[in-house]
Amino acid sequence: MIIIGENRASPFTIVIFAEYSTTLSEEKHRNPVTVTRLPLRKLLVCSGPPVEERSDAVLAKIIDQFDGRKVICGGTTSNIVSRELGRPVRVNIGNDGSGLPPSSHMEGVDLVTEGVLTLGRVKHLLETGGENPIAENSPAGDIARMMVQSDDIEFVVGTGMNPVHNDPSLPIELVLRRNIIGEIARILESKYKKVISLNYL
Amino acid sequence: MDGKLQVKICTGTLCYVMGGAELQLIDEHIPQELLPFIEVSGAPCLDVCEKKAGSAPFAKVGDKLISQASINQIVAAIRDELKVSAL
Repeated sequence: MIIIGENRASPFTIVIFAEYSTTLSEEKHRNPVTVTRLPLRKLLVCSGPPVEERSDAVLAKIIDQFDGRKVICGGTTSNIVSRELGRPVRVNIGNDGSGLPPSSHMEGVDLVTEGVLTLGRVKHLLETGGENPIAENSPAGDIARMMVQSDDIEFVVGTGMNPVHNDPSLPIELVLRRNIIGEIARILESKYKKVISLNYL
Repeated sequence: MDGKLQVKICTGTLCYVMGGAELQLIDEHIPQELLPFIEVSGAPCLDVCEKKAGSAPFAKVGDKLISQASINQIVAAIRDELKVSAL
């Protein structure tokens, strides 16, 4: 059986050829026997509070209604969604040895993590990772694996900013969220051939 | 919550980089005799850093907000709160 591949622009998505022998000539024939579509694996990644509070409900609705796996990256973002949907966030407090803030759980969401520190690590893992699921045991590793294992990835980026993150007295420089997500999206498209959409709130 | 004293550790970005990472291990530093009376949990963000309520890392012991929280400060606050509630 040979799977030729998938052409998303065409009504034909996957063609499977079967091999068999005839009793008369023993010549093998190949004929298309099945045209079918494998379900696309969709992933939603939301990070950042909307720039306007009135869009908080929009963000929550996007997450609630998305048909696929869902990740929220960011404490403020997860607080907003938690409030809007009435679902508590439970932090998995503890030290997993990764050096990253702990992940959390919210009903109806596959993974909740911290924001820019974790996303920075995701970018690094995607840049240096290969075709196989990334092995790192951390919230960033979990996100990177979900991305690699998805076909269509939708990013919803809140452009509200926390001015405290830009404080020059911070011990590290925190990269702008939308920049790092843009870079992650670029890597997913070019290296991993994912279909990406970027939306801003 | 069973009437236990709630201890919340902020795990947001700013708090984490400003020393909150160490507070993840607070459980290991709380005296055994106090453990049955408290519940330690993390908060994805306590939403106070923008409000100029002090300096990160933040933690909450009951309703008391602790700024520039350290393990020693949190343990001391737990003792104070438990003494007050015992009166």
